[in-house]
Amino acid sequence: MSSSAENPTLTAEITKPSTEIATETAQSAKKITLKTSDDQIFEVEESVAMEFATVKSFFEDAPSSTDTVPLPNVPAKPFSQVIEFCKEQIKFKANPDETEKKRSNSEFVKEKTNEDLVEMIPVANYLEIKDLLDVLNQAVADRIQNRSVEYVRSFFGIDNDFTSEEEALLREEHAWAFEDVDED
Amino acid sequence: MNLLSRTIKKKRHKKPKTKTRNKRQETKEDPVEQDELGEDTEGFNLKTSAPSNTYGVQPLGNLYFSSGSINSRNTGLGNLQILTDELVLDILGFLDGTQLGVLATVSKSFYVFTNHEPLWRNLVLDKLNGEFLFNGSWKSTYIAGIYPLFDVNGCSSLKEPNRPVLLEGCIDNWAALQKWDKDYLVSVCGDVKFAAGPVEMRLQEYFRYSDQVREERPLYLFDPKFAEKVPVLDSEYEVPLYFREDLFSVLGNERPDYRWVIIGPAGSGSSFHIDPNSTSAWNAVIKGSKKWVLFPPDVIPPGVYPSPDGAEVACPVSIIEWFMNFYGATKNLKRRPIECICKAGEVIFVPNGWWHLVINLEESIAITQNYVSRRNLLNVLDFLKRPNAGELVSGTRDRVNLHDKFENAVESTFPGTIDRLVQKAEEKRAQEKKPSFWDSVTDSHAGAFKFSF
Repeated sequence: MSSSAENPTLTAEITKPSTEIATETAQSAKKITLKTSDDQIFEVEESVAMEFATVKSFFEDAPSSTDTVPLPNVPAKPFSQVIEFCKEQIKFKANPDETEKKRSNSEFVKEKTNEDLVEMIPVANYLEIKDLLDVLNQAVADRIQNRSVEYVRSFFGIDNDFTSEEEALLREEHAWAFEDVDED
Repeated sequence: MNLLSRTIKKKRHKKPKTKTRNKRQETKEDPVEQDELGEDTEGFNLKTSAPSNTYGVQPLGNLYFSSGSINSRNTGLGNLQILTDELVLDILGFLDGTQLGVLATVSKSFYVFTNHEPLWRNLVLDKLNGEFLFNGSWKSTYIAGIYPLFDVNGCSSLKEPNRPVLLEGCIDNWAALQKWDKDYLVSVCGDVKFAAGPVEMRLQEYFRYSDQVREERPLYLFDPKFAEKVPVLDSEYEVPLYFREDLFSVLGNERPDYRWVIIGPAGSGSSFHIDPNSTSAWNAVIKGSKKWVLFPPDVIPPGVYPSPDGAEVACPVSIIEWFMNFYGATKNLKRRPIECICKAGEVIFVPNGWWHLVINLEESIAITQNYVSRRNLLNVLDFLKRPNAGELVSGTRDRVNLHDKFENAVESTFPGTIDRLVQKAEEKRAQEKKPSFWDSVTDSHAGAFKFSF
């Protein structure tokens, strides 16, 4: 049931070392080489890579650079999922269809685990992919909206560090908030 | 007991301060250094009134010095700990106020994040637009605006139960607390005269009188226009955080008298009364101390005989007389009064409708302010509407029309507020018939129910 981005064959395809791939790519679209914090090399189509504002500005400063771009804050696993998202996104650039885009976005987050989502957030933030960041933040928020305290704790793996007296006092202080909580 | 645990302590900054002090003293024996540090209660003081709550959050570097070295930020965030503070707040920015309230009780870390004021600022501006009554912090402004009956400023004991509360630490930032003594007041007030009993007096002469007098009912200085007369006095106190909501302010200059400076020698005070216009009040002691005896609205104190229409009250002329003749009897009452001593630096909350008697145990200077919040707005409107309002309403010239003026002003400033409160009140009345506060706290074994400190 794992998401397609975690599929090992797909990941392998994207992460082929750059030297091998260079000849193949010459005839197709220009590719950009990116290196993740865990030293994985990604060959990404230029149009996709330009979705990453951070990478884009790197090339704006050095347009003819063919160097590998290091992404010191980006681990490979969430990065491959981010690429997956951006590939979908650029389809909508040519052909804007807001409803379809929304559907695609919600499809994208629906099949992700919490861990996936949370790991992607700093990546989207670092690469400055505003749309993705909003989608992810909204997705995490949706998953805890109207949920109980106990649900949220187990959902994120949070230790309850309140004493029972403290917790009771806080509950009383926030009684106004507990009218709409759904049953787990 | 119950009320004791509700006493609010706000001396947040004390702990870290003493810690550093001990540390410095351990390593340094330099007496000069110690002297300097010893002064840290005076001298430079950060203003604590702004709601810049720290919730004990310290710079990350402090983790090196703490023995346990657990960063409760991370344990309390679970999976989210890999996110920076800004990203956590971004996610919380997608949630509504209710869910933020729920999350506040998840862990200490979540409590801190969900209390981030800009989140609440956005919610207030988004949901209430310009129609909000700022209430000390954006969070409490939001709660008061969206859930009028929970209008509490985070202080649960000041909400529904309508019972007295003694607060400490909430006027620590008043310049008045340090400065106001007889000499200072005489020097800043000069020739300004203040109402003292039936006459007006300059402070110098009043103190000359009050220093010498030994009589049963000393003239009591009680002036409603002190802040207008001597603006510097106004600048040296501020309304404590919990009492900022003040609906009479919509009346501007036409509002009834609402604040008084109170000065009097030991033995002066006010005998049993209920505060005007069904307002609630706070009373902050700046110098001296006051003894309070309070009875709930439905219990008439022994020795006190209000007229049926409430316009007049017959009771012993002197407070001492009441203590001598009736105080003893309160020990055997089924429903006994709440008693306490309010010392300098402390504030008592007097809920609307409560009978109270106050006597200065030593020469005292205090400020009191009466106010209308959403919690007692309906009571106040009812009071102003009574057929004999002309006799009952006090502190203003146009007594009969005050109700309509006030109602209209509230309605135009905060449209729909009155209707919402009426509806809530009706729902509440329909839904519960629970025992009164007194029934729930007075059992035969409990004995004296009173404040103790």
